Amino acid sequence: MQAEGHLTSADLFRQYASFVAAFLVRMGIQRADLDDVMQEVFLVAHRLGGYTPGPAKPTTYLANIALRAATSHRRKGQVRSFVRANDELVGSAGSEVNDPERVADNKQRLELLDRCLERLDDDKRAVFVMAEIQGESVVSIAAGLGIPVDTAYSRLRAARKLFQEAAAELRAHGESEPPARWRRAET
Amino acid sequence: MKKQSPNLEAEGTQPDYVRELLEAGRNDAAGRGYNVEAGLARHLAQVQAGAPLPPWAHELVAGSGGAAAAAAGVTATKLATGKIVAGVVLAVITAGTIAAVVIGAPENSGHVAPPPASPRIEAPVAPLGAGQAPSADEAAAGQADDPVELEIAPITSSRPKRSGHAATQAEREAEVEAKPSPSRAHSAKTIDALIEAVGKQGGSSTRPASQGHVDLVAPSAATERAGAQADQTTSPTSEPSERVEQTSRTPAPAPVVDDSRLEREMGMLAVAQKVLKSDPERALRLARQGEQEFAGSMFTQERQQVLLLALIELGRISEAKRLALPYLKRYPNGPFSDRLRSALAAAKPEN
Repeated sequence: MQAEGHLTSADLFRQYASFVAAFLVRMGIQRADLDDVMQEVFLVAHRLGGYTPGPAKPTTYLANIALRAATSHRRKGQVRSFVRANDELVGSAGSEVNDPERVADNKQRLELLDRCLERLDDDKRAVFVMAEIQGESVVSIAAGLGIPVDTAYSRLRAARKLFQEAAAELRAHGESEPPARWRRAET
Repeated sequence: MKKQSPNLEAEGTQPDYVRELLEAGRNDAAGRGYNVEAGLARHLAQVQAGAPLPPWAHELVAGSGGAAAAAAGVTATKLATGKIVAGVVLAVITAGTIAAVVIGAPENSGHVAPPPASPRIEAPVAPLGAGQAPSADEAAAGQADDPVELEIAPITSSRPKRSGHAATQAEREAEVEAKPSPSRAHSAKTIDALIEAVGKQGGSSTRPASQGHVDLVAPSAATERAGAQADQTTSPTSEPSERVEQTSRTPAPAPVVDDSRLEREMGMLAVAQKVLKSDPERALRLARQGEQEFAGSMFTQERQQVLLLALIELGRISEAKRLALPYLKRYPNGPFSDRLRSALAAAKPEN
C-alpha cells in the first residue's frame, strides 16, 4: 500500500516533466539530448519507487536526480555548445512573441544567462537555478539534494556572487553583444 | 537605470542586467516546449521493457535504502547525522592509528606499525542519537540525529574518490565543514538560543520586533548598527580588547558579512520557512527579526516573502496585501513572486 500523496513515475512525468525539462536546459543539456536525459531521470525515479511526501517536494526530489543525470552527461562530453543548443528552444519561445526586436533581445539574454550559468559548478548551478529561476525554497532544495540547509544557503550565496560577477564581466568585456535594451541604456 | 551598488551580494541592489537575465530564464519556454505526452509514452514503454538504469544511477538506487526513503529524498537531517557520526568514527580511527604508530614504533625499531585493518563500520548511530531528541528546528538546520545508512568508505578513506556526483558533493561539504568559522559547530545546533539572543538584542533597537506593523524597506543605519552590535556581543572570536577597539573606531564602517552573521541569518530564515505552516506566528516573528537585523541582505527577498506568507497564514490578508504591493512592484518577476500572488489569490477574506 502506497503512502498518501505518493506519486508514481508516470504521475511525476505528467505533472513535472516541464519543470525537469526546464531545469535540465538550464543545467546545460541541449535539445537534441533532452528527451534521452529526461527518460533517464524518470526511469531512475521509477526505480526509486516514485515520490513519497517528505521534506523534499516532488520538484526538488526530481531535481536531485536530474542534477546527477546532467552532471553525468557533462562529464561524458555530451554537452556541446549549450548556447547553440538553446537556439532551437529559444526559437519556440520566441514564436510566442510578435515583436522581432523583443525576440532577438530574449534570445541574447538567454545566451548570456547560460554563459553565466556555465561559470558555476554543477552543485552551485543546481541550487541557483532552482532558487533563482524556478522559485524553490532553500529548505526544499536542501531536502531534495540531501544536503544541510546551511550548505544549500552557502552554495546559493556563492553562486549568486559568481553569477553576478560573470554577468558583469561578460557585459564589460563585450564577449557577447548586449541586448538592444542594454545598448539603448548605455547611450 | 538604477545605480549599481558596489556590494555584489546585496539582493536589493542587484543590477538591472542581472535581473533581466534571471527574468529571461524564468520566462523561457524551454520546459513548456517539451512534448510531455510523447515523453511519457516512451517512459512507460521503457518501464515495461525493463530498461537498464544508466550507470550514474546505480549508486543512487543502491544507496537509497528502500524506495520510500529514496522517494522522500535523502534528507538533509540524515546527511548531517551521517557527517556527525562519520566525524566521530574518523576521530576514533585516527586516534587508533596514531596510538598504533606511537606504541608500535619502538618495538619495530623504525618500522611504522601498520594501521589497523580497515574497519567495517556498521553505522553505530543509535547510541549517539539516544537522549538527543532533535527539535524541529535542528532538523530544519540539518542537525537532527536520525539513524542513517552512512557512506562510510569515502569519508574514512584518505581521499574520496572523485567519481560521480556523490564524491563531488562530499568534497564540497567537506569544504564547507572545514570553513574556519569557530561558531559553526554551535550555530546550527543552537539556533533557538541565537534567536533568543537576537530577540534580546532586538529589544534595544529602535524598532521592537513585536510592533504591530512591518516595513519592507532597505537597511537603515539603525538596523545595521543593531546587527553590528549583535555580532560583537555574540561572536566567540572577538576578544574584549578587540571589541573595545572596534567600538572606538569612528565613523562605524559598513557592516561586513562574516560567516557567523550569515549563518545566523540563514538559520533564522530556515526556521521561519520550516514553521511557516505549523507556527506562522513564529515564522512572522523570525522574519521580522531578520528584517530588523539583516535588512537589505542578500536574503531579503526570500525573507520578505516568508513574512508575507506568514501574514496570509495568520489570516491577516489586508495587511499582507498592503505589504505585498511594494514587494511585487520591486520584484515583479522574482523567484517567489508567483507563489506569493497565488497565496494572496487563494486567501480567504478576513471576517
